[in-house]
Amino acid sequence: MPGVDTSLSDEDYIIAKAKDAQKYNIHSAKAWMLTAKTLFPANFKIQFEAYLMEKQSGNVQEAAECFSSLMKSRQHLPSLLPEISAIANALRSSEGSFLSQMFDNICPDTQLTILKTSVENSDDTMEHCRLLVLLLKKFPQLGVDSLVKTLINAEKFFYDNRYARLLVVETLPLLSSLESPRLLQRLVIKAIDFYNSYVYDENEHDITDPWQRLFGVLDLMGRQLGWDSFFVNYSNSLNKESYFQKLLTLRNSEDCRQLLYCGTTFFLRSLYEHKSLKGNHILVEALSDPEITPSKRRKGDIEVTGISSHQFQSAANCWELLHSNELISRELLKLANQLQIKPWTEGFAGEFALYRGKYDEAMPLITETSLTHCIVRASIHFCQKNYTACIESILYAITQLPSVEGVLEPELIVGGRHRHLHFLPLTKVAIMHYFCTLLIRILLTDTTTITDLAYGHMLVLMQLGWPQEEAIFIHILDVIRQKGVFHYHLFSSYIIHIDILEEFYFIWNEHGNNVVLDILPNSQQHLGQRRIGTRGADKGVKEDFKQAMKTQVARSNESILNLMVQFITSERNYFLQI
Amino acid sequence: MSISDLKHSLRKFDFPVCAKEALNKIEQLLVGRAAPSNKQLDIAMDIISEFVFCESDRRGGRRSAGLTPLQDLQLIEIICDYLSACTNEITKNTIFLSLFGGMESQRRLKILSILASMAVSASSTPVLLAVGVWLQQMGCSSAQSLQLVENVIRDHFYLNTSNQLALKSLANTAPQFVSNFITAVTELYMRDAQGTTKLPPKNLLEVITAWVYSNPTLCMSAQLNPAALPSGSIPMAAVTPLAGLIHWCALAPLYIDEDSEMVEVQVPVKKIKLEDRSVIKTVTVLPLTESELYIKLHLGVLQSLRAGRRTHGPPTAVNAQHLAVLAPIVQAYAHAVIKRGGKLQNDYKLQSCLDRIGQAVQVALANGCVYGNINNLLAALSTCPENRLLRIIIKTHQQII
Repeated sequence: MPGVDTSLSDEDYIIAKAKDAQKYNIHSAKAWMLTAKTLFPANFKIQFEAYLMEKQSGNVQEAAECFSSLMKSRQHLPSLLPEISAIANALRSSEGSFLSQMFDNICPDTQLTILKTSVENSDDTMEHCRLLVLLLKKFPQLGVDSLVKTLINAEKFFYDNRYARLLVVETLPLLSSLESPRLLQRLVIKAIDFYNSYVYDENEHDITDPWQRLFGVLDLMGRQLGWDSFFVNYSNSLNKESYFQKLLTLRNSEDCRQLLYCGTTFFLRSLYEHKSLKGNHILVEALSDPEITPSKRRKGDIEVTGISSHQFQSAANCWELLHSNELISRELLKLANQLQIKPWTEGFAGEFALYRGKYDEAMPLITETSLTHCIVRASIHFCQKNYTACIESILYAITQLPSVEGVLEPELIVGGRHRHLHFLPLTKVAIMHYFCTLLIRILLTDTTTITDLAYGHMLVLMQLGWPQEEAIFIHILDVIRQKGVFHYHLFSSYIIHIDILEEFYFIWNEHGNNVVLDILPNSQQHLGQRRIGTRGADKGVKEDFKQAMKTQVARSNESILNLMVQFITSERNYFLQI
Repeated sequence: MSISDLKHSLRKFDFPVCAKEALNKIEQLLVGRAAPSNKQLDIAMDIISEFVFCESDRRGGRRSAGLTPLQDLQLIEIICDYLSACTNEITKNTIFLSLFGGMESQRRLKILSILASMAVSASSTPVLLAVGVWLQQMGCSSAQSLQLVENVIRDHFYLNTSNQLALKSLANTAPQFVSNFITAVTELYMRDAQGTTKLPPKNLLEVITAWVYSNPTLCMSAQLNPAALPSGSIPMAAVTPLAGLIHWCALAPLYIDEDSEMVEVQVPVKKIKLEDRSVIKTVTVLPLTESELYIKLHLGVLQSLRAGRRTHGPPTAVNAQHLAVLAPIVQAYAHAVIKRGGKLQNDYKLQSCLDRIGQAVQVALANGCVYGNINNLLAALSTCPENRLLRIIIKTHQQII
């Protein structure tokens, strides 16, 4: 027989014939294998060759049949282990590979044997658990408890996050109940820890709905402990305000677990959202103005505005609730100690202190001199009426301004008399706007009578946020009209805003020489003469004024932002004397 | 109603209306709780002869003219409509066998052949199933059956080759017909050991391969679904096409000159070797050569044999004698080889033939498909030229027996 050795055994002869035929014609090869299978029904080698042949030709159904018949005899299992583990591997990957398709074509009993065998023969704990998860996903009736215990007791559990992931993400959803509430509690903590770490991990993105999944775990526990179903329903937590109000009702309940787990989850989520939204914003004390109509959104005696204000307030209020009595504080501390990531320690602690008006806590250390710290420090000093210290901080901050220009913040001043905090973006315009606003307030609160120089400086400073301080502007104009004279020798240097210029020109025109505007450069030396001798007659002076105003108007396209930096820096000595 | 009244009422109509009415009257006469009396049968036959086929006149005398070709078609349409509308299988088969069950009339056979051919074109399941029962009752290898089958082959496998898809679907809609049809077809080709052997047209071979390969239960379907026959009639045993197909596949290497096809085969073979295994599937999309078709058909037959095991009762799929007759054919070929000075061990065609006989016999025996004298079969096989597989099989089964 050409190509086939006559010294082969009958089985090997037929296998050789089949393999030879496979090179030319798959049907011929299969005919040989079919014959071989009927001739040697108990021969593993032949059955396995038949399987390999179907697998190599990509015949899902036939391969499944062959493999099923191989699985029928337990004595063959050891030889099948490599193939069984290949199938298990294929099942774990999400792609529909040949082996996983084949698996789907095998009857459930044999599927179970395949999976059980692969579980029994894996020595690596991790591998073992993964296979067990696979097994339980296919056969949930087998019970998840043992897997959960294996996982939670695995030695590597506490330093290998893969275990936590397997437990929390893969296994918990399979769990419908668990006998031991203590074990369940450990699971919930593990789940909180896992998802809390997951959301801050920049390298992991595959779980799209971590919070919803965490609520699934809470639901499991809630059902066991008879909790109010409101708290474990994910969609209820989407309305932060109502969820928090409902949480408040748990404040005094004896069993604090419901508040602890639901509250912590809610807190961590609000905090996470706050942190992801916040980006380059910092919380500062902003201003309120009783003459502006208050916003309707505000509840309580503090108003927070800016990008993540809503999420921040939820987190802050919940944090407060979780410290509202000794018992819950203690439990929270215990829980917090088991979390790998404590996102509240960085940033939030300072923000929370500021929110609660604990200025000493919120004040940056003397050694902290970054831009952010200077702004926060200026903000706190302002509230504490330490104006010199405030201005020192402002002056120091101005030397570190960022290059990003940004836009004006419309919410820096809100209507009302209450406290107002704002998330200020770290941009040049926003910061300078904030500083100018603070400086105007400082100049206004001067206890002695306000000098023309101070009024003049206010006019300069209000240009950036114009028309935010229009009320003060009108007040200054009234003062000037009453006094009939206004000296401000820096007018031509710093006042370029067209609206302000127009008003001054109007006063000058309307009141003729009844109001003396001593605002032109070099006019100071002639002031005495002009006041006495040339009232209403000196055409030349009139032309001078018109010409000077025209020069200012021509500058109105200059950058007010840069002008403010220049102004505050040049006048630092004046400000430091306030 | 008396016979004369019955006939009188039918005579009021001209052809083809009288034929339509006659079918209803025959149904009334033949279908009922008990088997019809001889007298009723005679009347029915009279009516069929006079009013359906218009073979006799009112006095029972022969009418020489008979139906014109156009009238043939009108009648076929009426019969088709009647069969399609018939909801009861027994009624349908009773009428059908009454119309065409006689052995003698060439005229009726001609009409039946056209009817069957039309039913194939139209994929008319009720008519095809009735034809299937007719084939079985007449015997698939009877002269009438062969004539009908030849007619169908001429219409659908020689003249028209664009209808393979429709033909392939018949295996699902009318499996009993297809099974009996194949049984008859295998009688028509590769029957002569020497001289000019008639081979099935490639188109027919392709369709039969597709039928058998994709429906492992097809070959058994006529046996597994007994025909619904009128009470009192004797059901004829269905002969599966398996033995006939085994003949074809085993003898194909001897009759097909593979070298002439090699040019066609070469390209896909190289492709399989060079590229990834997944290519195999795309390669099979290329039209197969005849020898490849026989290989595929052979595998289909083996798979059908595997599905041929009966859960209870004795084997019925393949008669041992039908397989044993292969031995003398192979011997004759072997003699010719020796005469040419060839060596039997190295004769590829002969060895392929013996391998296929061996595979078929083995799978059939292992699955309990063979009835009759198995010892004779094994003895016949042992007279074949030396082949290792055959030796293994004979050794294995002689031990068992």
